[in-house]
Amino acid sequence: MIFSSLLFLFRFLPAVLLLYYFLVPKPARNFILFLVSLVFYAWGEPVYVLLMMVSILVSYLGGRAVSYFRENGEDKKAKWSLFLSVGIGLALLGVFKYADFVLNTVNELTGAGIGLLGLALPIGISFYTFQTISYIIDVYRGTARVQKNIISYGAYVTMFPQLIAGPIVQYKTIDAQLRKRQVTPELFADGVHRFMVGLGKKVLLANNAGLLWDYVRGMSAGSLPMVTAWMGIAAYTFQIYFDFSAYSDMAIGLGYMFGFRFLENFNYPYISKSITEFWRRWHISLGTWFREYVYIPLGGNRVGAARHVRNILIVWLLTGIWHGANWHFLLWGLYYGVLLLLEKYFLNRYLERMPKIVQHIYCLFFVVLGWYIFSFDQIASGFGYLGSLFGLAGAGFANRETVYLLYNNAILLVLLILGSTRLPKILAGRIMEVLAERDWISILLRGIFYIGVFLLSVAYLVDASYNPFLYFRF
Amino acid sequence: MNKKQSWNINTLFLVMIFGFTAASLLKPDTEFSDNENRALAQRPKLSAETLLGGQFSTDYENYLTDQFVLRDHWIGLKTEAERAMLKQETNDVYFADDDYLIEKHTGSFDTDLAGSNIGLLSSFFEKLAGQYDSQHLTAMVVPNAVDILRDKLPAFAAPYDEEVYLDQIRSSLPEGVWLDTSVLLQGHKEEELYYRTDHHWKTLSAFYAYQQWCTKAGLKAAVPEDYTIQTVTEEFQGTISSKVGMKVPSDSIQIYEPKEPVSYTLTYNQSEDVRSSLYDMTQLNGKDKYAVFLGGNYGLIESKTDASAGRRLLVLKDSYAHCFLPFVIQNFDQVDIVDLRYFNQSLSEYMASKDYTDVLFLYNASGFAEDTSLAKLGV
Repeated sequence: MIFSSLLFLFRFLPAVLLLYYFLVPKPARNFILFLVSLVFYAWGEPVYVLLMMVSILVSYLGGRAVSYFRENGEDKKAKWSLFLSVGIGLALLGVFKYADFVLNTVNELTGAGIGLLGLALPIGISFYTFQTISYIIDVYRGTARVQKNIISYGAYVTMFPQLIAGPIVQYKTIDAQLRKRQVTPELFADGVHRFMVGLGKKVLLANNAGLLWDYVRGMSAGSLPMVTAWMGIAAYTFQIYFDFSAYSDMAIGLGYMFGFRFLENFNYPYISKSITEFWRRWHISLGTWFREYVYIPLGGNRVGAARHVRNILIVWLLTGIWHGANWHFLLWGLYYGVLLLLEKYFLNRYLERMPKIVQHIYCLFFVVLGWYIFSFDQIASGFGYLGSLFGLAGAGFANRETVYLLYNNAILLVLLILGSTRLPKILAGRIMEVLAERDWISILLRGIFYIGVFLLSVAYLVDASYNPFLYFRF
Repeated sequence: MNKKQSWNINTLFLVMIFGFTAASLLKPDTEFSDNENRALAQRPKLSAETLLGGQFSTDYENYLTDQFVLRDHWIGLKTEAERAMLKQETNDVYFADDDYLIEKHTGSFDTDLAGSNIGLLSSFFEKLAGQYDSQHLTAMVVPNAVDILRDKLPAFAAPYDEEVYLDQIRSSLPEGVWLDTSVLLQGHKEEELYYRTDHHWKTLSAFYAYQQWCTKAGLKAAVPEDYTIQTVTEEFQGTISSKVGMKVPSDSIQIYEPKEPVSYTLTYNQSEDVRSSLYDMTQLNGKDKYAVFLGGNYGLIESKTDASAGRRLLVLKDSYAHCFLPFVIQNFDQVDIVDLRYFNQSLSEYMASKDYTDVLFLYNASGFAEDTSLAKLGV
């Protein structure tokens, strides 16, 4: 089930709110969250919900074992429990997500002709597996308390706001809230705000940007005029940001409504001045995960240059392949690994002396090119599109259709550009600051905004021609 | 936000969520949308099989969307929003000049189906070419509004050029079979050739095409003075305005009554349904007023006339022919009208049982390219 659907807005969410706040007693709230999250997941994955429950059980027992042996000073056994439970989690991920990719590669290299498993990828498996792993490791490290209540633990793993598209919530960040949490009217209202912002970003901005991208990538890619090709890939750049960050916004907002505070996942990535900065602002929970559980254990940057290069490349190949079992995702990860190394060892010195605008353009150029690699297999003719981007397609700079697409999407593109900057937030913040004491004007302005976003979003959902879920391969 | 503001915002949110939930639960399901002219999804049956296979969840979401309260208004709101964003199109429909809504037909013509339909049509006529003089065989595939009214499209719009496709059809047919309507209609493009709100051509266009066909088929030339032109409604909102949920000024529908009519009887689908007019005036009270012609889509309508012309015609057609046929029926002793989409007999056996002197194939371009029943031409 996805948030931006009539089903979620007008069946699931009201039912959950009723159950959670009115129909069950307070002590049963984690249980209710666990239960409704299973329904949420099972709606789209009626069979794989069992797989998720296996994953929960294994990591729950792993956590218990690790903490038990640690308390009794049996460090070796604790370590083995850690390896075993993390290993099972990774093995499940491996089988369901990567097995066919590996088999395919082996077949192509050796001509072996091994039969493929043909398993559909369980939605969200990469997200929840990473959460369970972080939990066990943190228990081992002593940075997280063990959770003895399997209901509460299950509620953590399955919690529907973050289940299928992140953020990757680390157990230690919500341990206290799982045990005791309070929802104030203020927190709930913040949740409403974040949810509405996310809903609007997804349905009104991301989907419309996606329509433009779909149109352009469906054209014969080898013969696009340059401007059309750039407009297309720019539309994709906006689509993936507004879509992905909208899911995080809605997740964080829904979290607030039930008393959870998830950490931020996006921080205006497109205003970055370097690739290094971009990755501090993009999908923060994933970057943090790889840093804490892969990069630093490998020695991070406190090692010689050669090992540092190795560490970076390992982390970024893994980051790439995390996004999907395909070569172009691996390439995409490598691309960023190399860019980050270049910046660290070479480029930063020069970049920092450049005018800011040059730094922004440099960063955006490589990010957009990165999205081209990322979306490679969605494009009608992948390599041809690259040619079009650099004017090698022989289709010139622009044509009639370019002009038509430009002026049809002009307002949308302006909104997307503005929405990628801090400007709307600063502006709204100022207005609200001035009006902080003027209750009714504040309520009125906010009300108009929320009603507008909500009604328009519902209108786009009812006329449901285009509402994709982009993360089915994560 | 302070406590007071928060409470108000929270209340607003809950009212919206629960309000629409309650309204959508209370609204009775509807079977058919007059506005969209299609059957709406119904509540799916729950079973272990559909649930575990994931079919139930997909069906339920379609059901929820189709049956959602105030559905038509939401679609209208979306269209208004698109217009406010200065978009020149929505749902593949251009907001064209002079209040025309014009379908784009994106992707209709570059499919395998569109290609194979040309092959089916040409082998059908190749076969007939041995038995009939080309004067008595006519294929007419009429361009859509997007082609003829291109001057009205938004600036720089670049839809697929239907002429490319029509040229392919023309060149695949035996000599003398193709009747070109593109040049003909382009010559009249300042007149009201298509409905503004519907995907059909107007009776005026059909009349021009008929005049041209008379010349080709060796029939008595027709002039406007032979007819009393009657406007039967001025309240027509067709399929395209429903598709975008937007009201534009209504269309009018004309019928051309011959001043010296030939009387005829019609038998619908070889049943007891026998009529004496190609017009079904009761349809003017409904939503789809274009159904005033022939009363809608029927697989087979057979007619006998008092024309004593010595010629018998088979028409293979889609709904573009509906406003064309009232002209034609005056010229033949017998006109049998087959709509392959709804025709479940063997066409060749049916044709063999009759003794036609003429065959007319009349479709619109996008309808022809998208039709999945043309394989019946070979059966």
